[in-house]
Amino acid sequence: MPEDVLLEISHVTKQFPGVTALSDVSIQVKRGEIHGLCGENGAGKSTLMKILCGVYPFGTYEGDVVYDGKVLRLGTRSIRQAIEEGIAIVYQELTLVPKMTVGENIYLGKEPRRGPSIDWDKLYSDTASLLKRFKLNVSPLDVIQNLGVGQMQMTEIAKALSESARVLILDEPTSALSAAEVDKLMEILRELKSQGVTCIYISHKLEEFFRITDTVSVLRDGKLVTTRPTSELTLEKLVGLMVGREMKERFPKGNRKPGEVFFKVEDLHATDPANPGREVLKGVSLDLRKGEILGIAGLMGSGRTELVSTLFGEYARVTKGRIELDGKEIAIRNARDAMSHRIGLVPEDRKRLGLILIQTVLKNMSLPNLNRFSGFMYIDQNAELAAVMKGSTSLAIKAPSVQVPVESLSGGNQQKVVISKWLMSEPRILILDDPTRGVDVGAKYEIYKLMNKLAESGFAIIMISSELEEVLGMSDRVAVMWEGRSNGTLEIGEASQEKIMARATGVEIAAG
Amino acid sequence: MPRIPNILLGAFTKNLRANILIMALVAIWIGFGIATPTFWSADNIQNVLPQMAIIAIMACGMVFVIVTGGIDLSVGFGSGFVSVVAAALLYYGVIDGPLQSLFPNMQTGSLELVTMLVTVVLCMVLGLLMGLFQGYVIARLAVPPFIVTLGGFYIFKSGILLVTQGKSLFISANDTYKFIAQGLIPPMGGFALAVLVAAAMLVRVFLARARKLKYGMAQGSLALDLLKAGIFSALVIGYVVVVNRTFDREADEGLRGVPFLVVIMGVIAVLMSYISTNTRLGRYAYAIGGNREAARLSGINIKRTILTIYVTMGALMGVSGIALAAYVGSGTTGAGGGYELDVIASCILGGTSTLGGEGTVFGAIVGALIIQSLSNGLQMMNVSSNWQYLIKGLVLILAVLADISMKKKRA
Repeated sequence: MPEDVLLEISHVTKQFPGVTALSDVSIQVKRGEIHGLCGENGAGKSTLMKILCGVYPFGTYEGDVVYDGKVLRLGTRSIRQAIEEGIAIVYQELTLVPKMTVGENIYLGKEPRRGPSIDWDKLYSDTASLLKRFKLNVSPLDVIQNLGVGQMQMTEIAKALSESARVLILDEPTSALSAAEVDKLMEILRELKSQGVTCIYISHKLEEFFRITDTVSVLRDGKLVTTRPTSELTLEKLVGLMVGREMKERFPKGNRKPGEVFFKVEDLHATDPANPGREVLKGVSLDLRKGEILGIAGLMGSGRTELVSTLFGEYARVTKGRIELDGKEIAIRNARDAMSHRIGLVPEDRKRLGLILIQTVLKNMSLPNLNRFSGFMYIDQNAELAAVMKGSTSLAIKAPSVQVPVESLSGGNQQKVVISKWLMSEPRILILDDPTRGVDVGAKYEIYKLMNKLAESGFAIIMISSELEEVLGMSDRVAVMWEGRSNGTLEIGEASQEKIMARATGVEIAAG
Repeated sequence: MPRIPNILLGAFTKNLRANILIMALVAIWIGFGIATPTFWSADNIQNVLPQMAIIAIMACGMVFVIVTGGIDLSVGFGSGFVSVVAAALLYYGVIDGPLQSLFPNMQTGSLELVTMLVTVVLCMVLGLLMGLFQGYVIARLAVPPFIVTLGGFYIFKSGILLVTQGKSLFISANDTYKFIAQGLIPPMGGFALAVLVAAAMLVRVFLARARKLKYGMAQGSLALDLLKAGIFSALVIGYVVVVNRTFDREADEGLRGVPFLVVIMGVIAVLMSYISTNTRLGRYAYAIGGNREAARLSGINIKRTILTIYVTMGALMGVSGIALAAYVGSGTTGAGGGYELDVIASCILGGTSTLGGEGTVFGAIVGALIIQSLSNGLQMMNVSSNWQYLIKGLVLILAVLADISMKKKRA
C-alpha cells in the first residue's frame, strides 16, 4: 500500500439474504483528502459506510479494510472501537438529544469525570475550545432544540470530531441546509482538511463534489464504477457515470398551458399554534392558475414550509388575510378542510410526515381516500385494491406487490407512493414540498415528468424546493419568500438564480 | 415428496409470529396434559374458557388502545365497578322492586328476564360513560392516557368501595342474570353453532380466493387454505363435542353444553377483529399508532378516533363487568383487581407492540388463552400461587425477548 493512502477498501463484498449490496469494491482514500462518494439510492454507499464505522463488524463481509497499514478488525464492540480508531461518522439523520445542551450532546457517553461525578466545568470548557477550533458559532450552553438545522449539523460534526477523529464520514450533510449554511460547512471542511483530517463526503447534490472534493468514487448497483480526480470530471460526466447512461437534460420539457387564476392568497398572516407569540407568516400574497407549476423559492427559515402548512391547515393558525378559491373565501382549519377543497400536500419529510413506514403500500395509498371505499361498518376492499393497483401502475411504482411495507421501498418509490396517495384523492391543487429531497437522479427525472403530466391534465401544482435549479427548471412562475413574507412572483422568463437570490435575501424588494 | 412439507414450511414462516404463538399454546397444553391428565378432562375444559373470557373480552378492546400508542390501566377496577353496580342493582332489588309494583301479575321468570335485561342495559351505559369520560380527557384535553387511566384506576376502586360499603353483595334472587356467565347452551344449539362456524370458515376461504383471482393476485395453495380452515373448524367442533360430553352417557344433563359466556366472547372477538381490518376506525387506529403526524396530514380526525376507541374500551369494560358479576355471583370489594395487567399481558403476548401501530385481536385472544392455560395448569399441578406469578412474569418477558430476537434476525 502506498505511503499516502490512509484507508484502503480492498475487494469488499457484502451479502444480505437475497441481495448483494456490495460486490468486490476497492477504493483507496488518501491522507488528508476529501473523497467524494456518489451513486444513486441503493448503489451501496450506506452499506460501505456502515462497514467502515463498525455497524457491520469484521467477518460479516468479505474482503478487507486496511486502515493506516493494518487490517481493520472491528469486533463485538465494533461501533465504539471504530470511534476509538479515529473513524467518525455524521449520519444523514441527526442524532442529537433535543433537550440537552450542545456540550452535553457532544460529550454524551464520554463525559469527563472527577471521581464519581461529571466534571461539568471541564466538559463545557472543552466544548468551547472545540467549537472555537472549528469556528462554530454556537455556545456550549445552547439547548439543541433552540438551534437551527444548520447549527445542529455543525454540532453533530463537532461531536464526531471531539475524539480526535482522523477520518470523518459525512453522509449527506447538506440535505437540510440552506445555501449560506452549505457555504459555512464547506469552509469548515477546508479548515479540517488543513488540520490533516481525512474526509469521506457523500451527497446527492452533485455540484457540491466540484466545490469541495479532491477525488470522487462512483458506485452503481453495488459495484465501483470509477475513482477519479474531481478535476477530470464534469457534472454531465458524473451523472452519466452514476446512472450508466448520458443524461441529456435534467428537467424534461413540458407542454403546459396555464389557464385562468382560480386560487388566491392575500396578505396572509399566521402564528405558530405551539407558540402563539411567534408569527410565522407576515404577509403572503400569491395566486395560482389552472394547469401551472408555481415554484416557491426562499432560504431555510423564510417561511416556505410554514406557508404550505398554513394552506393545508396544520401547524399554523391564520390570524389575518384571506384565501380565495373560485372567487369565494374559504377557511382551512385542518387537513380535512383542505381536502374538502381538494388540496393535497406531499410533505417535505416523507418518513416523518408522509408515510406510515410499517404499513403496506396499499394501506398508505388508501389512507386519505378511505371514505370513497367505505360505509359505516365496512371497507370495500375490492374497490380499494383496484384503485390502488391503478395508481401504482400509472406511476410505475417499483414494488414486489402493493402488500409490502413501504419501508422496504427505495426513496424514490416511497415518494411516488406519497404522491400517488394524493393523486387518488383527485386534488385540484397539489402542493409538493421538496419533492425530490433524498431521491436519486433517475427517480427525480421521473417525478419531474409526472409533474408535467399532471399540470398538463389541469392540476395546479405548488412546488417548494431548496434547489434553485429545480425551481427554475420546472416552474412557470416563481414566488419568492423572504422572512415570512412573499417578495413578489417572477415569470420564468425573467427569473434567474441571481434575481431569485436578490429577492430571497431582501436585497431587492418587489413593488407593491 | 418434498412439495407438501415445503408448502407447510412456507405457510409457517409467512405468519411466523402467529404460528409460533399457536405452537407455544399447543406446547403448554401438551405439557400440562402430560403433567396432570385431568387438564384434558371435560370438566376442566368447560371451566377454563369462561374464566378467560372476562380477560379476553377486554383484551379485544385493549389491542386498539395499545395500537394507537395508548394504555388503559383502569380496566380492572373499571370492570369491577360495573360488576358491583350490577350486583347492587340486583341485591337491593332496585329494578325488580318497582317492576313488581307496576306489574303485579308478572311471572317470576319474565320478571327475572326483564330485570336482567334492564341491568345489562344500565351497566352497558355505565361502561360507555366511563370510557367516554376517560376518552374525552385523553383525546380532547390531551392528558396522557397513562395518567388519565391511572386516575381512573383509583376512581373506580373508590367506586367499588362506595357501592359495596365493604361487604359482598350476593346475587341470589336472579338466576337468569347468572346465566350470562354460568349458563350452558343445550347440546344441539352448540352443535348448530359449531357447524355454522365451520361453514362460515369454508365460505370465507372461497370468497377470499375469488377476490384474489379477480384482481390477479397470487392465490396460494387451496389445500393449505382448506387445511387452515379445517383445523380451526375441527378445534371448534372438538370443543363442542367435549363440553357436550357426547362421549359420556353417564354425564349429568346439567353439565352438558357450551358456556354462554364463551359464545359472547367469540362474537366480540370476531366483531372486534372485523373492525380492526375492515372498517375505517380500525385502519385509522393502526395509522395513528404507526405515524401520528402522517395520519394527521392524511386528514384523519385523530381526536375522534381516539375518543371512539376509549369509548369502545368502556363498552367492553361494561360487558366484562356484567359477566364478572354473573360469574362470581356477587359483587365483591376486590372485584376486577389486577385484571388490567392480565389484559395488557394478553395483548403483548399476542404481539401487540407497546410502541403502537402493530397488533391483532386474534393474537390477543391467543395471548389470553396462554395466560389462562398457565394459571389453570399450574393450579391443577398444585403449584402454589407464590410461584404462579413468577412463572407468568418469566413467560411474558421470554415471549417479548423471542419476538425481538426474531425481528433482529430478519432485519
